[in-house]
Amino acid sequence: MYKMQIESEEDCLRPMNCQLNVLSRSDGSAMFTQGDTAVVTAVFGPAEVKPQRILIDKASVEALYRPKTGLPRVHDKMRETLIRNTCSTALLVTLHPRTSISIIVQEMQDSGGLLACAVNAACLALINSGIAMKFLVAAVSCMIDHEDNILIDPNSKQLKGSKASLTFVFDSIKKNIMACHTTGRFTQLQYEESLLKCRNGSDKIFSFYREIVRKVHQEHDRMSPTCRT
Amino acid sequence: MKESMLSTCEKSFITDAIAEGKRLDGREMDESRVMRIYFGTDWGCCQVSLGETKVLAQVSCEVQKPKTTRPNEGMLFLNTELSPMGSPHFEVGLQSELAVQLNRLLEKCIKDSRCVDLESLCIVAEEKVWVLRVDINVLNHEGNLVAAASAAALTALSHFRCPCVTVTGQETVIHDPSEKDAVPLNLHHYPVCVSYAIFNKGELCGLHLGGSSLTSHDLILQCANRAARRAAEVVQIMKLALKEDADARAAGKSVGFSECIQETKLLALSQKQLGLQLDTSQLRGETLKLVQKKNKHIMYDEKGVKVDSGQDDRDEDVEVEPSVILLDRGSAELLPKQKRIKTERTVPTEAGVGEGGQNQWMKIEGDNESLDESDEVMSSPSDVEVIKEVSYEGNKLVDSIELSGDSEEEETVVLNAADVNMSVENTDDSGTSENIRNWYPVKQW
Repeated sequence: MYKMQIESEEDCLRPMNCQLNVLSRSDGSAMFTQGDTAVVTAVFGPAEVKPQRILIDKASVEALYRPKTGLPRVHDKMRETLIRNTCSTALLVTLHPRTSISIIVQEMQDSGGLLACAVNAACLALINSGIAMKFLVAAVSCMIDHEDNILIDPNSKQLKGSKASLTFVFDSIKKNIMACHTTGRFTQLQYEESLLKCRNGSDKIFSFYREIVRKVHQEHDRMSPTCRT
Repeated sequence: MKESMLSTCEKSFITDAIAEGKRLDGREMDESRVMRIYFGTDWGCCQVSLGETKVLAQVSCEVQKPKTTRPNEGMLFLNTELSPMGSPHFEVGLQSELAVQLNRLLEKCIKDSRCVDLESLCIVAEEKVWVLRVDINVLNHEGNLVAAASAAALTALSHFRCPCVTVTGQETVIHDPSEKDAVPLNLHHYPVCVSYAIFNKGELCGLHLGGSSLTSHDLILQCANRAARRAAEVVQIMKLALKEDADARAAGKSVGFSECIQETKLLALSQKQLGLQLDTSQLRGETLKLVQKKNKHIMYDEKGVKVDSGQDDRDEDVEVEPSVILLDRGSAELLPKQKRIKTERTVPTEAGVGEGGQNQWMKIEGDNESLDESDEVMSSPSDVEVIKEVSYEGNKLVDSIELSGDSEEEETVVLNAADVNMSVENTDDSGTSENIRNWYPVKQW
């Protein structure tokens, strides 16, 4: 069990929980919660690809986002596009030509910051699936409220009083922006400030990833010191 | 992907084992897998796992006009989705046989059995009724979807709360759950689907008249009895879980799917309250610097009228970068930066070399060729003044556009050659009065 207690300053990310390998049929899966927002993700791949999607030099990555109620709408498709683009950049797709890698995200609870949660869960599922990646990705969301305060990782109650919301996705090596999705109006200064804060927050998420992988491998080594599965 | 087929020897292994009364996972013949129910933070959201099979159900409601044939009743819709997450051979959108079958079974089970009291969903007869929608998503398919899905749907319906509605005369007010407690649904009875597979001489079939098998009516009765007992068990489990959830909510404890992540398990991890150690005092300063740097850069690239902001750069040899001059509303033109610098330098001053007394603006068009201007010509303050004046108006506009950052489209204006020429009659320079417009693209936004 791993817990980290940090004195709550003004800026803090919501508590994160995750469990890997929750689904038995998929190659990799993760259930990830940030505060009250929960998402379950499954990864299948590299697997057989349909003829219309086949790419001869790399794997064809597809992402599916399922909302909890109703049929998928436009903003769900937008999330799919963002996840697909982020993951196809992060994965070493050229290692698996003529195959398909599918990432399926199912919303379980929406309490703000759903896009960021989905991207982080997708990264965890990819870690669990063992498909080679160039780097890991972490997404952080933030909002700007009417008093021009910048809040990191807001929940849905806080989001009601927002005038702009921004989600940034960073890579783990250089902390470059991989994707950015914003709604609302903000000044350039506010954008830069949010970017700096979110970049700082992404460090926490990357260390969370490292911890879970370390935990898994420690137990593996402990249980089977001679043979590696 | 296609469903992987079982080989003949695998099939025969399974049937032979069953003939001996053994099951692959060691269970008894009428033993069920462990059923666990987890609830989410929203009302009407639950996840049921039957062994490894996992199903998520969510109930939502909406106000609509009722059917004309039944003006006093609400409506109930069931939607079953076999998410591609559940199994590699599930496709998106494609209604496979299994999906249709599952949907129909659940409808029979929940809708046709009339377990939900639809009349209680009526708000205003013939005008407004609650329409319930149950969405069932299969997360993992390891067999017996029917039982898992029916349990999930039923639990979700029992868990769901409809917002409180008050009708006053013509108005109908729907209260937010935070103002007034929401009202649970009325369920007459709890129909549970239990499925049995009947093996007969190696042939497989389901209980509900699907498939083909020769069975005696004794067997069916036997199954029905067992099913009744099993159903009672399931309802017990369900009520227990509901009670626990209700207690947890009343006690104010945290509920939701984060609880179903079992932290003691190997592959689970949780972290609380991740504070960011960011020195906010320096933040502002850093961002301001960044913004200024970017603005400077941008100004040179696109709206290089900012001669005043780049005063230190003026004397450098600048690469040819286009600069926009705003004249009046609706038109601007791009001039290469170099040109502008050249303009300054060729503007004669008392201190500098060059013809004196002539109209400065004649030099613009003529002097674009002379690249051998001595760099020592220091632009005197008068230069600055002159140029500043011309583009002053532009400065203001572009300035405001720059820093406010709000506007998505800047108004750029197209400079006509005639405007730039100002009051040019003739020039003494060797340079031909080229049409300035050939030098740069005229952008019309």
